[in-house]
Amino acid sequence: MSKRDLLPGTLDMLVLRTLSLGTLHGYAIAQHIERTSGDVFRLEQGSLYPALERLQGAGLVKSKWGTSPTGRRARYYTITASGRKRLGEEISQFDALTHAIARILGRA
Amino acid sequence: MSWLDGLRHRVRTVLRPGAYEREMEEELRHHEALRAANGDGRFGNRTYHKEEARRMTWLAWTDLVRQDLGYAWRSIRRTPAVTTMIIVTLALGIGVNAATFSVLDQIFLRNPAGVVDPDGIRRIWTRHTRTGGGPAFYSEAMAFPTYRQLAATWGDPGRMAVMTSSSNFHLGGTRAGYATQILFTSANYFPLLGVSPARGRLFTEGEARPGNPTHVVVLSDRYWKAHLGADPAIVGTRIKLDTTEYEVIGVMPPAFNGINLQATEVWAPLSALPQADTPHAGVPSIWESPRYLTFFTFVRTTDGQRMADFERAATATVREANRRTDGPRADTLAEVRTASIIQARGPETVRQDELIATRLQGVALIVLVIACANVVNLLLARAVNRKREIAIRLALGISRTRLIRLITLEAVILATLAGTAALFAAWWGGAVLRAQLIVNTDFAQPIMHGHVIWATIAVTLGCGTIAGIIPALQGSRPQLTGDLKDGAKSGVRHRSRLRNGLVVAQAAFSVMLLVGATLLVRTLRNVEGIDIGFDATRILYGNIAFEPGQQPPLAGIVATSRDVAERLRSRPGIEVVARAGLTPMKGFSFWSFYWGSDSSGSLTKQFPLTYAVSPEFFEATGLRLLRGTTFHDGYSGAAEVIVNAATARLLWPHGEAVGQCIRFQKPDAACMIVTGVVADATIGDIVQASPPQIYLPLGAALTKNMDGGLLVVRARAGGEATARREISAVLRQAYPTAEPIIGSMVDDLNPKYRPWRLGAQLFAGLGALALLVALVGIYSTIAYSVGQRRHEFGVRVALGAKVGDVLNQVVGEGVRVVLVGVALGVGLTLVASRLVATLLYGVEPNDVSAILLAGSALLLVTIVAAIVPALRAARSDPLTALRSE
Repeated sequence: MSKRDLLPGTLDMLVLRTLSLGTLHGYAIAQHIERTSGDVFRLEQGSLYPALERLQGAGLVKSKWGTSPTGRRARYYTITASGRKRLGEEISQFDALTHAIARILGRA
Repeated sequence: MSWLDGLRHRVRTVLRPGAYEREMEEELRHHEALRAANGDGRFGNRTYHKEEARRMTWLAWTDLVRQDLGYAWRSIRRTPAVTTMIIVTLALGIGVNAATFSVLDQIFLRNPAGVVDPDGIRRIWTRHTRTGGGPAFYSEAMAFPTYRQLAATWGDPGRMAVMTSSSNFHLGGTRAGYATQILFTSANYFPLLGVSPARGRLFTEGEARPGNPTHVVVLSDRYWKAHLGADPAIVGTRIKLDTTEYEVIGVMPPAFNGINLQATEVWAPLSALPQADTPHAGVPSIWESPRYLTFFTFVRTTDGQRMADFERAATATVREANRRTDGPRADTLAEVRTASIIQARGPETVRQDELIATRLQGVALIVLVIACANVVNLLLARAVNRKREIAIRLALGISRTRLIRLITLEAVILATLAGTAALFAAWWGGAVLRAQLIVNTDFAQPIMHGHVIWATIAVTLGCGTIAGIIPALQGSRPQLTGDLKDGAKSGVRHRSRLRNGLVVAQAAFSVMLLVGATLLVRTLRNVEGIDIGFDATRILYGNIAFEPGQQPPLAGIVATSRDVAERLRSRPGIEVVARAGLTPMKGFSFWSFYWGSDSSGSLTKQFPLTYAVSPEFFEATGLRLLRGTTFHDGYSGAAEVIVNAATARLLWPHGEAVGQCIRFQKPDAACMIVTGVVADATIGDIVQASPPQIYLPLGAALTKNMDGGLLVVRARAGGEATARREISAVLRQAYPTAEPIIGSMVDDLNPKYRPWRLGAQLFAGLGALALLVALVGIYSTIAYSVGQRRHEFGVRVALGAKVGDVLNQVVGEGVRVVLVGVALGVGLTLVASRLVATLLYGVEPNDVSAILLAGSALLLVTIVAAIVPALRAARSDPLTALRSE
């Protein structure tokens, strides 16, 4: 699935959700999202890194260079307090949205 | 503060784009390596990924700006000649304005530095109405008793400061020491202004109180650094200023240099004012006399009602005091007004240099408008030449806003370059103007100031934007197919209306400036032609400057100067030697006198100026004898007197002055017979009528005690330098320890002509500049229109048009447009010319010949500007024109 198929803002929410579990580098974020979605989402660098840049610019995510378990330098991302707050808002909005769609489709 | 972290991240990206790039590269490589390790080899395009991420940063925006700047810079560099022309035109236009503004700012807008809440300070002015006729005028100067009455009227004497200045205090007590002016003030001067010393203390109320001379001084930072070596232990030491020692009690901070245009360097308490307490017998001291109008006052208040009440009460006080001192001839129309701390913003502007400065700013603004119009014209021509390029860009999908931004940016860059040049021009020009226009003033503040810099930046950006946006709007209007095919050649009739409008405006404003220049040049000629009554060329005078306190007794000086004059008479280079009590046409004294057979005539208000001179004085100065004779014998004590024409008119309006009798000082004094009437010698302003003047012989009983130590010499033609040397040598021989001072009448008179010369030069210079700029504008418009219509001219020539026909057509078109401008300019001139009326002498503001001259000058320029492109049009080769079809 490409980024265009996601609902707008969904990618940011997924990244924030992933980071709410702990500090991760870019690849780990992508892998986590892909695995947890049961490989329904494929997250390309061309979508992930702009999203991370956007989130950092908004102050929702912080980053820091560190060393990965393999001994390589890697940039680690951490969710900030306002990132968590935003995540909560986005999840409730998303819930309302999916609930409404489900009702239209007669599934609720 | 997470948003702050976000901002920090964004700013860091912009500040260190290299680091951002490297980190992104490393992060993506890492990502790819991990994917590969997990058996996923499809990485995609890394450059694309990086670009996508970059689009999220502020770098995306700065990239765009950099692109725009780069584009604008490249297109500016592509046409260096036009670019240079634009920058020079704008720099001149803006520079002239900035320089003029820097002077205006200094005179009218800038509060004295260092003063706390300067708007709360009000200077006190008095309007004087002359009883003998003549215009009423405002002055800040008042007598000390008047100050005391006003302070009482004010109700709070502690809140009204008083000051007076005195000059020529030589540091160290010798003539070689730096001479400064001392401002003698009341103790509340400093606290009312809100200033405190950087070192030491200020004087106390007790020290400043008149009658108790206390010789202490407070120095300005400037004086302390320049003349006392910034001695850190200066407070408590004594310095000698002329004959008196003063204790230095404080040094002011660098920012505070008094409240006048001229920097104040030394402050002393009022009580220390020299000679204030030692009047001549029977003459009241400065503190008591109503005649010494030398004190200035100010108060601090922001209460408008209180000011109004004070002005009313003070007016009554002053009128009452005048009535007491002057009786029936008192100035009962006197009025007291308060005004800004900025001296030039007093109740009226009278000084001619200030008038010139304001008018000059108007002229400078007109030059700027003309310059801007020219730049618009040049940019328009270029934008139209680039139509094909712009059409391609539009076709490739550039947005109209971005295109307008690009073209405007170009103009703003040009204006910025011009503005930078203009700031330098202002710095230099401001200094020149300051030195030329407001002479002999050691300014308290530097030329460049926030006001000037901000105004220059604002004007620069304003000009750049206006000059850029018009061509941008014009040029970006898409007509794709036509423009792609034809580029710049095709007829663009609708666009020439704007260009013609610009030429009309330029022509109109140029006419205004040219009329102004003509009027001022003619004024100068009239002023220089004014009969000053004497022949100033080759008049030198020699005087002696004694060391302070070392002046020999008067009798000695009189005897010596007679010897000196005698010895000088036979020296080379000397034609005539005379003696006088004071500098001719400059120094004077007043004597009360009576005339008429029964001594019934007397003047109590306006006294003629009196001069004590030797008989040769009239020959030496070339002062024309109108009737009668000069002194028969100036040394034998003969009771003779010579009057000027103005005195004769004043005293004997209906009869002959020669042979009449004047008695000085007392109605029953000895009769002095008028032996001759001489021309009126200009003494003050050149254009003012000369006051009544009376010449007394040096040897008369009355003037026995006048020293006559001043030598007045007419040098032989070409012998001026020799004469100077001779005077100096003879004086040095007579007074070995003192210093001879040689002056020249021409040097004395020059400053009087200076404002007129300067006005004429500045207006003529700016007028010429405007004409030059208009020439370029007209030329570029016609050349451009001819270039566009090559095809049309080609056809005309092919159909048999002769050179004359084409010339007629092109020149005629130019002249028609300019004529509209000239008509408009004449209209504007008729409306605006009375603004310069005060700068004129002997010529009417709406002088017809000046207007005709300006109009024809502009038409001549038009013909010159049109002739080159017209010849080009006439030589159009029909084949070339038709082939490009």
